[in-house]
Amino acid sequence: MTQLVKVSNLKKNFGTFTAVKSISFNINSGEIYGFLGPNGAGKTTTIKMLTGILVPTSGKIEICGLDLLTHPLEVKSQIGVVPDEPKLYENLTGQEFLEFVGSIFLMDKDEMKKRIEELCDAFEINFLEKFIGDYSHGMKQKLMLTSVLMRKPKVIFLDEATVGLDAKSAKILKMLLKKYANEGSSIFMTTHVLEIAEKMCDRIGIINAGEIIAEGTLSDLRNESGKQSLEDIFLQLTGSTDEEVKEIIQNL
Amino acid sequence: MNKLTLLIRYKLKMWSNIPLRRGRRKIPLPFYILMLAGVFIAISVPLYLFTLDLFQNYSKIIFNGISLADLFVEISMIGIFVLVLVTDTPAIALNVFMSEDVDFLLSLPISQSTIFISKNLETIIQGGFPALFVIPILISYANATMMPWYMITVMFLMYIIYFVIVNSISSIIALGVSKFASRSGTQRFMVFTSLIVYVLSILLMSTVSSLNPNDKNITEAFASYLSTINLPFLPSTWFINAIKLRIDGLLPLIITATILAFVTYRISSSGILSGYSKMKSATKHIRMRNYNLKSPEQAFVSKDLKLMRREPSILFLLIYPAIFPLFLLIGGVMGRGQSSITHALTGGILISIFISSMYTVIATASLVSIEIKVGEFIKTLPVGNRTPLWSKAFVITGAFAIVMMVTFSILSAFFGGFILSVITVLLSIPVLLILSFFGVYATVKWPNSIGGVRRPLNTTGNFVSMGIGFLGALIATSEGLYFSGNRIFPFLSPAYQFLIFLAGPIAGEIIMAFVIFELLSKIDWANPYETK
Ligand SMILES: Nc1ncnc2c1ncn2[C@@H]1O[C@H](COP(=O)(O)OP(=O)(O)O)[C@@H](O)[C@H]1O
Ligand SMILES: [Mg+2]
Repeated sequence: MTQLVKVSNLKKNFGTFTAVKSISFNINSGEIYGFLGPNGAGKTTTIKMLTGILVPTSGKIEICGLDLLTHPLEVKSQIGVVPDEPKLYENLTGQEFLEFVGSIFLMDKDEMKKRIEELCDAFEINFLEKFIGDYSHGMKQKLMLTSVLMRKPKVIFLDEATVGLDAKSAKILKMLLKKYANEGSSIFMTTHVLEIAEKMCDRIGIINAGEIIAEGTLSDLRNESGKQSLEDIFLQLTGSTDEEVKEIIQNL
Repeated sequence: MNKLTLLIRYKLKMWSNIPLRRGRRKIPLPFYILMLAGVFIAISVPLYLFTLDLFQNYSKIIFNGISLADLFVEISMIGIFVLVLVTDTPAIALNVFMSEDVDFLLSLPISQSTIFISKNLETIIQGGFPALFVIPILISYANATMMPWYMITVMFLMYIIYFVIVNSISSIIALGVSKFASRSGTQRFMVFTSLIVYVLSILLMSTVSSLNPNDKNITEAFASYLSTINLPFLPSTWFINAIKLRIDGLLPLIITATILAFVTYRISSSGILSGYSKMKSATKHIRMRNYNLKSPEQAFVSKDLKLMRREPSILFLLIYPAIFPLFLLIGGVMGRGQSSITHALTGGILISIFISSMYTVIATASLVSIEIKVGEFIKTLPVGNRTPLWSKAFVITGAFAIVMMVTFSILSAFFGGFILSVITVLLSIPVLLILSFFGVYATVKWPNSIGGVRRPLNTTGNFVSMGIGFLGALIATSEGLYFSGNRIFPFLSPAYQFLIFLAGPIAGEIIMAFVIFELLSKIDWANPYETK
């Protein structure tokens, strides 16, 4: 089995603060990897390093067999990124944005048209002729998803991708990602919706304060901790027990 | 009422916090008010003196019971009506009906009408500044016609009532606008309304200042032309009648203001604020679209062109080099005589080049700052780090060159001098390109993280780019000057002329290009937008 993403000893400092402390993991082709962690754990920082947005302080990132630092363009042409907070050109229409992305990635015109129409049907997108500045958060997210999924990239990175989506679109996204994984893509997604991780991800990494504190399939995690639900596992690992939570609630 | 003052107090606080957020010292509110008052006085005292002289002459010329002075006041009132209507309507639409913080305010226990009034006042404070300049005009009118104090009081009261009418009309139109227009569309529309105001005021100023009250023929023609303005259904006519305490002025003015204010108030308190149509996504079936694909470089250029075309603040900068020669030419035509026209034409071309050079830096910086806003997205694309920046420099240079080209072609179609225009434009293109690359450098080096597209550079950046822009402008204009054959130093021999106006500037240009490309190469291109 090929490993499409190989990360070793990845580290990121912001000044004196270390946001990500020397993490390592691999993702196989056809695998959906869930990256869990509380707010501020370093999920977004990690995804930004993996997609060439942030330069790591140290460590090695290999994607599709290429080193990201030495072959950034080759890597970027094979990956797709859906950020947590899509910031797009407000004065372009959705269609113009898709044309721009399609041109940059040298897409085939007919293929692109076909894919976009399918995705528009799936996500109920009927606002491509409007300016992005008038989109809601969820609409921007859908546009960003379309611009990524229309290319069928080998590796897809999603940061809290389901946050702005309505229930139906979220469901469709989950099914699409499964389908793409079955076709051989690797998917790296951060989330703090545990249910999504539980249902979708083949493997889960839990990150806390910049360190991966547990990794494996759901059953691995269950065996290790002796707990059934991912919520309990997660709370235990990130250092807060059920009793603690109850106490906090009581004191409120 | 309490809540209203609270809302306004907080808004004022937010405004005075703006410099603080830019990392500068906080400016206390009284200081701001003092500063604005200073600007106001600096403009209104000369205006007062100018119009006083005018009114004293004009009040003696009377047609059908209306003096030319009255008509001048009416014109000013119509002018301010159009101005406030045109600038305030989109501003109110954006500020009151499409504002994001209205959504928040509506969730608080504050009545709709309070929110509406506070937001409306906010817009008036921000955009109603021009309306103040009618005050010195009115005072000098009062002085020239020797009004007693109680009539002056009535006059100002009437002015406030007049303003209420204008503001109510803008609010009602703005409400309509907010129902069918989108936010970004309204924003783009604002640039054109401001442009209309700009052109109108230039036209008005040049007509008024070209009038010579001692020339009987012109003033009579003017007066009869103006009398078409004194129509009985116009609020401006009511106003001029009202300040003479005539009942046919007072009554319609007060009644109309009351009705309009009441209607606006009722509309504002009836749950209409929240109802702005964010987006109409009615089209159920997806139209068959054709997608236009290009090469990556072309895609960048075409995207940047679109962004430039749709960014009001950049468009504004692009309009100046076209407008200023026109302004000069009006003066030249009025001065009459072929030689003054030729002078005006050369002057116009040179000014246009000068302005283009000055604005190229800031326009490029604005365009780059749009990219910085979405910086992370760009970094995920498989394009070289320089492509996005190169394309912006070329787009802005091309835009200024085309604006100048078109302006000069139109001018030379009427006044000749085509060859000169072509030569000067061609000569200025390299300078513009260099300046534009400097704009790229400046935005990366001295970004203003919260200034947005309008203020892309911080104080240092602004200062330095003004200097560099000025230098570039000097270079471009002296080259133009050389070819225009306009010898400003006739005592210099041709050899010296050549050295000072052509060889020197070209050498300067080469040095500048060298330095700027050297600077650019020092930027961390792998991470041009990295901010701490
Ligand atoms: N540009 C930055 N400069 C300084 N600190 C940062 C920066 N970006 C993120 N951080 C810090 O790094 C930590 C991890 O952030 P992030 O990766 O966004 O967390 P999350 O897991 O919620 O996505 C946080 O403490 C955050 O404050
Ligand atoms: Mg995050």
